[in-house]
Amino acid sequence: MKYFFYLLFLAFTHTYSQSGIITYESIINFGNSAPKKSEKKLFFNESASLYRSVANVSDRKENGQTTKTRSKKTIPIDENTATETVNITYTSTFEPLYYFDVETQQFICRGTLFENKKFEPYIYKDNYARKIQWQLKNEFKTISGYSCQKATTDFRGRKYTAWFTTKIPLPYGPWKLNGLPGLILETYDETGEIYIVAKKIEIPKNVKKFLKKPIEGAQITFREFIERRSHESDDIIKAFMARLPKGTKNVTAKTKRTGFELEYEWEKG
Amino acid sequence: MKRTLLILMTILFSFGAFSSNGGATTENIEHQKEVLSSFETSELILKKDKCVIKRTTTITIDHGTYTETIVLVEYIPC
Repeated sequence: MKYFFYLLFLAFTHTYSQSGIITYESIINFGNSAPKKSEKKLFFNESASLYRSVANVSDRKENGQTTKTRSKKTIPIDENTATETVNITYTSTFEPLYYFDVETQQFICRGTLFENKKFEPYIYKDNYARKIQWQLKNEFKTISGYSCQKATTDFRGRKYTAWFTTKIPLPYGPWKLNGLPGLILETYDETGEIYIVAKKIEIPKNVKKFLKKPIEGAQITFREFIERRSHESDDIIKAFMARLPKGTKNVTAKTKRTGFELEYEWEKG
Repeated sequence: MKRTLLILMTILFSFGAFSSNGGATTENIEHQKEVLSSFETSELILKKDKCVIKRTTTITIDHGTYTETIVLVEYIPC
């Protein structure tokens, strides 16, 4: 009987020794607004990982609504003329999800497209993301008590540095960064626009209820998703132009796109 | 002596006038820059003298890891 409990304990610890939750602090500064600081979680076990925002991990159901904020400011130039600045921000309540399946080696992601003034969720497989080529460096440091090794890579137009630990020998990391011999605890790109660091490491931890494949949303290819997203501003500009009051003499429209990904594999010759 | 004083006063007055004009121009440009600073259109507008901006609309679409900012500028032409 004594051995039975011993074996039961061993089986339990073995099952959960490779599963856990990493809470990351993510600081994104694309320059078009104030730096965005948020918490993200990576749920993982031996067969899969899921990276997502902390906000929606609780039981709060995503309602799919689009949050719209608007601010207006009028600045007088002289007695007869005044300029007006209007800021409108549409924010998706569908958080992006990044699920990596070890067995199939597939990245299943959920993203949103802005269509008819609201965000619609889509599911796509990013097959390029599993082929990240890393260069391991002979540099080491400690993060949250774990000894980490440095690695670098070029991925979609950004040069990343990652610090991974072989104490957790799983190929996962934040966002789509993966494929190292240990879990990534810190990463940043050379421009300083992206910085993600582990703040809390919970191992072992049962993550079964959180580690679910994204299913909500229409299936779409990754390339189609990116191409459709790059045209979403055209409709907004068209709608805006149509609403302009009579007498407006000239309009300049300028679009600035920023994000983790600056270029794609199919764009390279 | 009177003549020298007159010349000196004329020179000083001229300096004052130029200085005043210069100050006003700088102030005007600075003001325009302030209005436009966050919209990256200052270069466009300042190159075209006497253009007056009527309204600038910035629309940001925030997808989480990707943002798109559209800046629409309506202005009275030069």
